This record gives sequence, structure tokens and C-alpha cells, in this order.
Amino acid sequence: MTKFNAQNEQCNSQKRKIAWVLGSTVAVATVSVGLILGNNYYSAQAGPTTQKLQDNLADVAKSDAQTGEEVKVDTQAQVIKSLGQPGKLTVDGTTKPSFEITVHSVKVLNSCTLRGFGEKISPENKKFLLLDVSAKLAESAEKVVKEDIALMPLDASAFGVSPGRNRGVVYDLNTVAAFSCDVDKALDIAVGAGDEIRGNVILDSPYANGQVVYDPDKTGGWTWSY
Amino acid sequence: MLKEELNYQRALIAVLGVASLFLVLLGSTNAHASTLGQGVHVHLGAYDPENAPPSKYIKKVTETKTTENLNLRKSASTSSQSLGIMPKGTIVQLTGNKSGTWSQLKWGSKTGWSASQYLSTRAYTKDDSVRYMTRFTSIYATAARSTKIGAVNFHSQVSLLDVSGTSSHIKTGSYHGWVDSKNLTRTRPAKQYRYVQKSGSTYLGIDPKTDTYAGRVHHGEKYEYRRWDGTNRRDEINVNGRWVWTSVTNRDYVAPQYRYAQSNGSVYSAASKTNSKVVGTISKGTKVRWGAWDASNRRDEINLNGKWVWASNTDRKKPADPIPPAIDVKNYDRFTTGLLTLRKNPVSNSTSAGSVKKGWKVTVTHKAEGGWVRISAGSVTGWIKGSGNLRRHGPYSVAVYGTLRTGQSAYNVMSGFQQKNTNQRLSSSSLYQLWNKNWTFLTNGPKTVVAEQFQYSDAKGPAMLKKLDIYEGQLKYQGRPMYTRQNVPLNGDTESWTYKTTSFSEKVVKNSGRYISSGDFLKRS
Repeated sequence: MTKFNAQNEQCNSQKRKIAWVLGSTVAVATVSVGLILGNNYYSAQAGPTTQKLQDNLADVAKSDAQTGEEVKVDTQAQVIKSLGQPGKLTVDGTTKPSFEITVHSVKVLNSCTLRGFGEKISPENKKFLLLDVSAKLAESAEKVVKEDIALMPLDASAFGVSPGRNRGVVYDLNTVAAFSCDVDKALDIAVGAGDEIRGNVILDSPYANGQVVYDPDKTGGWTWSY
Repeated sequence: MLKEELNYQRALIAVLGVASLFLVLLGSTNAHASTLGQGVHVHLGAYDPENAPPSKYIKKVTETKTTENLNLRKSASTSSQSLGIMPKGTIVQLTGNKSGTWSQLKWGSKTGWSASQYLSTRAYTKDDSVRYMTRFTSIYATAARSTKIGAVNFHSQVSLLDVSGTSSHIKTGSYHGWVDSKNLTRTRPAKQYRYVQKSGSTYLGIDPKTDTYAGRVHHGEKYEYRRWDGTNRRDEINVNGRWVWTSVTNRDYVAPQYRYAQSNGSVYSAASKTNSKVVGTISKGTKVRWGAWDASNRRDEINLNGKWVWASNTDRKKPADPIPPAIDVKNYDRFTTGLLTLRKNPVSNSTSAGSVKKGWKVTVTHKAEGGWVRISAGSVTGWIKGSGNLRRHGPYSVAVYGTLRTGQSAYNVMSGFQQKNTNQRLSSSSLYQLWNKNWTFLTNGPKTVVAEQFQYSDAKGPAMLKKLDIYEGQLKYQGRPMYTRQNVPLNGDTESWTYKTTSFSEKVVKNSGRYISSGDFLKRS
């Protein structure tokens, strides 16, 4: 998320709270987690190797509160998902997710059309990734934030990519080139409470293949291989 | 004309001898006013129009017409076979035969009988003698056309009396005699005109040595013409209803010329400085018709209020208007409504100070009497008339405040503009940044937001707005656009298009975004 200066801290702290609040719901989930280790994954009980990772993993539930399935986390504190499989945030003590996000597919593009102008433009990094994403934010999300409007960002700035599992995640994929691409069925910039949306979003990725990460706070989110 | 008459008199005296006793020389020409042509007239008695024989082209005619639609019958009886019905008004020829109340008549190729009561006969005089002269023409005593007795002018109406060979016997207002038939026509010829090539004198007579000054005609004037005298090289023209002679006219059109009074001053009765009197005054800037220039006295002949007078303060150029003082105003901005030529001073005949294209944003810095305003646009500064040339809203002006600004990541999108103004301020606005650092949103607010204005030409503007509408239209929340193109005020009292939050998206932005207190995208942190 954005850095905030002191002058704006009051309002800005409120604005990012929805992400924090929803993120913290994971922290209080008490289901066991299986962590990816090396070429596989390792369990949460084995203990992470760094303090930061430990902190991030503390927010991760050990199992899916809704399905009971084991939650697998890579060494970058990203919950591992397959394309089409939703990442979820669930309030402690409940089974129904407050937020779900699913990356259904990833297309790798060498160029796109400059929206409105018709010219071909190239990515500033290496490849454009065209993501088919759906997201759902429960209406109840508004009750846990102080603001009038609860939302979860869904634009390119909320995503990252890595070259592969357990590899470092890079963000800043929201280049002007990515923003300028003419996208059919463009995804809304955020999903609001009570809304369920689906659409396409463009990332400007340095990797032609690897993993897409949804991690608006950059403290650990979900990852899908492409 | 008088001289010409005398020539004819001498010739006739020599030829006719005793006949000259009857010559009566009139004191002036054309003494006979007549509906017929104005001949060059010497009273010769025998050739007076009163003594003319009757015209063969004026005939008494008897004509019979039907007064109703009328049967023509084979014999004088209603039971007789009809040869046809003659429409009312049909002209028929009576044979003279009658049978009771029936008359015999011819109708085309048919001969038959009709009831006399439906036939009307009248007798009238048919005049087929009217002719016009196609040129100035000599009149002769006989058809042989050997002895001149006078002349008749171009355009004159005459009466044709008889024709013999190539000669026609005519009667004018002054004569009867013989002329060349080819100089006659049944229709009145169009009038002819001459233009004054150079202002000069007119004379009553044809001979410049002996005639009388009749007045002055002026450069560019147009007069009816009827005769050219090759010997004296003079045209006969009609000035105010009087035929006079002059040597300053020709067929070629002469465009009128004008002069302007360069100062307030007097006008004079003549060109001469020593022998003229003041007859009026003329004000600076007055435009007058010009007649002549007298180099020795350095005076122009001009037409002032319908009278030709002389002035020494006129010239071809319109005098410079007095320059009204420039009044400083609080600077404000406007857009030009067309290509404008700027003047160095707030007067219409001031020299050019450059030009500004249509659609440019300019700053008004001064005003002056007469609706003048002083504007500056880039390096160009000058005066224009404010009314109609400036407007508040730039139809193809776009204000930008984020990544489209100069040097920013999306600046290349703004190509093709004809003018750019940096460091502008959007009024009553606030700037917000969402979690995506590239997204800034203009909302209503209490302060101003730093912007740049791009002006596009009429040729490029509509397409550019369409492109930008699409470019800026993709960001949506709950399916509704975050930006729409809106007309917004700027601090210089202009209005431009910009992409701004709607009332809906403004709530989202103010709820979830970060307020940029500087109002400047470049100073966000």
C-alpha cells in the first residue's frame, strides 16, 4: 500500500483499514497450515526461518475455515492457490469467507492497444499479463471498518509476480503501459461490500512465467502459478 | 451643335440660293421641343416637319370582330349548316354581301354567313411608322442623299414616311428629309454611357474655340452619351438633363477615388489659393469622393456633401486615429474565437503586432476605449477588439493534473496540441490519490489544484476529446466511471474540459484515497 505522511495519517489510516482488518481476520484463524519447504512445502509447526516470515505467517490460517482443507503457504508467506481456486479471508469464529479472490486464468501478451488511441504499446517491464479475476466482498465487511465504504482494491497495484514458487515477489506492476492497455471487460478498481465482480486486469510483469500474487498490503496474500 | 448647324446653313445657302431667304436661324439649338428626334435644326420651310408628306406607314384600318362565340354558316339561316364556331374576338373579313340580318364574311379559308348583330366593326389608325436612330445621322433633301439639310441624333425617335432604295424619308421634331435606312430601327436602342477619365470642362458647342463653358465633370462620373465628334475629339454627353460637349470622357470604366481629411480644415470654392473663398469645413477622417489634384496650389477637388469644393488637407490614406489610453485591468484569461491579428495600438489602423491562432488561451492585461483589450499569448502581445473575439470556454481545451502532465508517465498521450499552458490552477478543487500511486482524482474542494491546459485545434480537438474519453473512461467502481469529462473553472476565469470525479466516485475517493494538500501531483508524497 501507499506510504503516508504524518499530515494525512489520520484519514489514511482509515482508508487502508479495510485491508488491514480483513487481513487480520486471518491472524486469528486457528487452523493448521502446511508450509512449502524447498521444492515442497513445510508445516507451520516446523517454524519459519525469519522473523518477518514468522510475522507474516502468523496471519495465515492453518486450514480453510469453510472446507477444512489444509492451507499451504510458500516461503514468501503467500498462500498457494491453483488457477480458478479462490483465496479467502475469514473472520475468526466464522466459516463463511468475508473476502474471496480468484485468478481464473493468466494470458501472457507482448503488447496491447493504447486505449482510445489505437496504437500498439509494449510493456515497460517484459510482458503484459492479462488476468481473469473474480472477487467477492461480503456485505458484513462494512461492519468491521469505520469508513462508510468498505472495499478491496483489485487494480494492478494490488498484485505482484514472482518467477516461481518460493521466489521473491516483485510489485510495481501497475505501470502506465499496463494502465493504458485497452482491456475488454476491465475489472473494477475495487470490489465493494456486498459485491461480486469479475473482469480482466493487466499487469506489466518482468516474468513471462511464474506466479501471480494478490497481496495489496504486501504482507502476504495468495499466489497462482501461470 | 450650333456650329454644326451653321455649317449646314452655309451649304444650303450655296446650293439653294433663293431658298436661303427662308432660312431662319434660331438663337439656340433644338428650339423645337417634340416627341420626335431632336434634329440639328435650320428652318428651311420646305423641310419643316409641318410640310412633311403623310407617312405611308400610318394607315386607316377597318376591323370586324365577333362579339360572341359565333357560328359561321353555309347560308344566311340558323338552319343552315355550320362551318365552324368562331371564338369571341375573332377578326373576320366582311365581303360586303348582306342578306337581311346576316352578313357574309371570310374566316380564314372559309367563307360563310353569320348574324350581323354579333359582329362589331371599328375603324382606327394603325401607326407603323415609329423608328429610332441607331447613330447620329445626316438628313438629306432627297433620297439620293446628296444635299444635307440637317442631322438627327442617336437614340432619337422619328417617324418613317417612305422608303426609296436604301434611303428612308423620315420626320423628326425639326425636319423631314432622307436618311440612310440602315441607321433606323424599330426598337429603341439602349442608351450609351461614357466615364469621365479626368475631371474637366464641358461646353455647350462642339467647337472648342468658340463655344461656351458649361460646367465641370469629375473623375469617375458616368454620363449618357450620344455622339462622338472626331474632328474636335469631343463626346456629347448629358449632364443634368443638358447635352454638352467634353473631351474628358471615354468608354472605359473609371473607378471612383476617395480621399480622407487628414485634419480639421476649410474647403474652398476654387483651387487657386489667391482667388478662392472658404465655403465650408471638413473634419479629420472624413472620407470624400475625389475629383482632381491641382499640383500648383496643392489642393484636391473633393465632393463634400454633394458639392465639389477644393481642400488642401486631404490625402489618400485614412488618418491615424488618436490612440486611447491603456487602462490596466486585473489579468484574466480567455480563448480566441478565430485567427486574430494583434495591433500595436488600440486603433484599427495600427500596425500588426503578430497573430494568435483560433482556440489559443490568452491573458487580457489592459483595456482601452472602443472595446479594445490588450492580450498576451506566449511571446505575442497586442491589441484586439474584445467583443466576439474572445470567449471563456475553450471548446478544445483540456486541463490535466496527474500523469498526463508534462514529463509525467502518460504525457505522451497529450500529443498534437497547438498550445500548452503550464502552472494553471483549477478552482474550488481538491486532489486525492488512491492506493495506486498513479491514480489521482480531482474532486470538488476548497482549494486549487495545479494543472496544465492543452489547447487543440478545431481539426484535432473533437478526435482528441473522443480518444481521451475512452482513455480515461476505463477506471470504474461498481460499474460506474471514476472520471467523467467535465467543464471546470480555472483561476484565470476560463473554463476547460477535465476528467473529474462524479458525485458518486468523489465519495469513494474521499473515503479511500489520500488527500494531497499541496494540490500538486508533482508534490505528492
